[in-house]
Amino acid sequence: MQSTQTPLRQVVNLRENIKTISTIAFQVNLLGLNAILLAKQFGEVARGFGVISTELRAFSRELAQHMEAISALSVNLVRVETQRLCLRKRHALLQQAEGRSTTDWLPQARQRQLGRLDTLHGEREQTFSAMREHLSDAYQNCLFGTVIARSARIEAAYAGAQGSTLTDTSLAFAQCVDHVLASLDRLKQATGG
Amino acid sequence: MKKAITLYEQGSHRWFVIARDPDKPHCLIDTNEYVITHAGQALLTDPGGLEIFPAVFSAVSEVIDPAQVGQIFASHQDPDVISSLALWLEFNPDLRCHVSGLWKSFIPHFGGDEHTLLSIADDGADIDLHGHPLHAIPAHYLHSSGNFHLWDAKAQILFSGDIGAAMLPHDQQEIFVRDFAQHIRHAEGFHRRWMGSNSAKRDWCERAAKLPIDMLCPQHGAIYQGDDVMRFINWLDELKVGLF
Ligand SMILES: [Fe+2]
Ligand SMILES: [Fe+2]
Repeated sequence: MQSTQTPLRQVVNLRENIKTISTIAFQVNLLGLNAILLAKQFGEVARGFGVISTELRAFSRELAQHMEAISALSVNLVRVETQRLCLRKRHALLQQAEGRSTTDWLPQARQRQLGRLDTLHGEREQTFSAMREHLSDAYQNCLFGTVIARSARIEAAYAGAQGSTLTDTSLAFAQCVDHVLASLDRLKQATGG
Repeated sequence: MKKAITLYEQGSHRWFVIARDPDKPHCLIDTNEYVITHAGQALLTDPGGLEIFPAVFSAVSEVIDPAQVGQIFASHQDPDVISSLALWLEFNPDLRCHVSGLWKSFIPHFGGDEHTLLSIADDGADIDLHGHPLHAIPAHYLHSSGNFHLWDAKAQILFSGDIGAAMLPHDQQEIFVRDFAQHIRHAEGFHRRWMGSNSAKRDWCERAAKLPIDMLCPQHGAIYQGDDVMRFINWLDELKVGLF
């Protein structure tokens, strides 16, 4: 599937996944804020839930930071892929000219383009590898998020009459984490991981 | 880095400006690109030069999936307007580019072919963006001999290409004109030299004055908004340009 996509399309898909995760991170932040307010409102029975809600916001912040870093790297990837496209085009044109001329300047120029393409290929791999590092951190973060979600559900169960509202919040959070994990998997694939 | 900023939003109908680029090499003239979206489709005005394609492409993909960009409007044939066409086609080979019929066979030197380029007749045309009409308005000889602006009646925004352009100092990165008198000093030299015809200018000013325009969006420099739009039209009408 991936090989049929143009390099720029691949970068765009990557950026779309980043956007999805960033949007979810924003939602989790709101969810966390709402959960803190609920916990305050419900008082002593929801104290544990309040503590967990703070963790929830820390989770969303960290996730957003990783996405910002990967997004910045993806901008670099757009530049690298654009330059590769231009170099390939120039290379093809030089090759065409070479067929009609005997000057050795043309093969030399073509060779230079190939050298630059190699350098860019290296840059591309480096960018992917830097992205994979952030992805693996984000993944760990999400595993931690799964634990927070579980704890939130348990705490919600302790909250007595108010429990059902808090259970809804913890379920919504668990769903967010699942979505993020799915998007992270797609990102991992897209970066060759 | 270039960033997309929302100028107008009414449901799915939106205008973004991809505003000036503090990081671009000094040797390149700075440009504004505009993205118009309607019901999931997008049109890009004057997508800019080859060198700035990565910056524009990244900024576009910040706000929409660039696959939505099915049409490009090129006000004229200059390299700062449309030399990135080949790269946009690389991303979307089905892309269509609207341009004055005069330049139909010149622009393929930057990329595209007879299928890509759609001629706009001299007296203008409506461009359909998923059911929403955008009006290509003649602005010939201002400065190019085959030149169009793009007016959106719903948003009351006029994309005015090189008209309204200002060569702002590097440290002035504001999106909107703040102080007209101060701003217009940076526009004067550009208009005097680049605009070739006083009669074409008068004709344009008369037509523009009759349009409801909330924002006049040039390809270079800051955007004129509200009263500054009419202030600009009056200023241009008074200015002696080109040869006379
Ligand atoms: Fe121009
Ligand atoms: Fe221009």
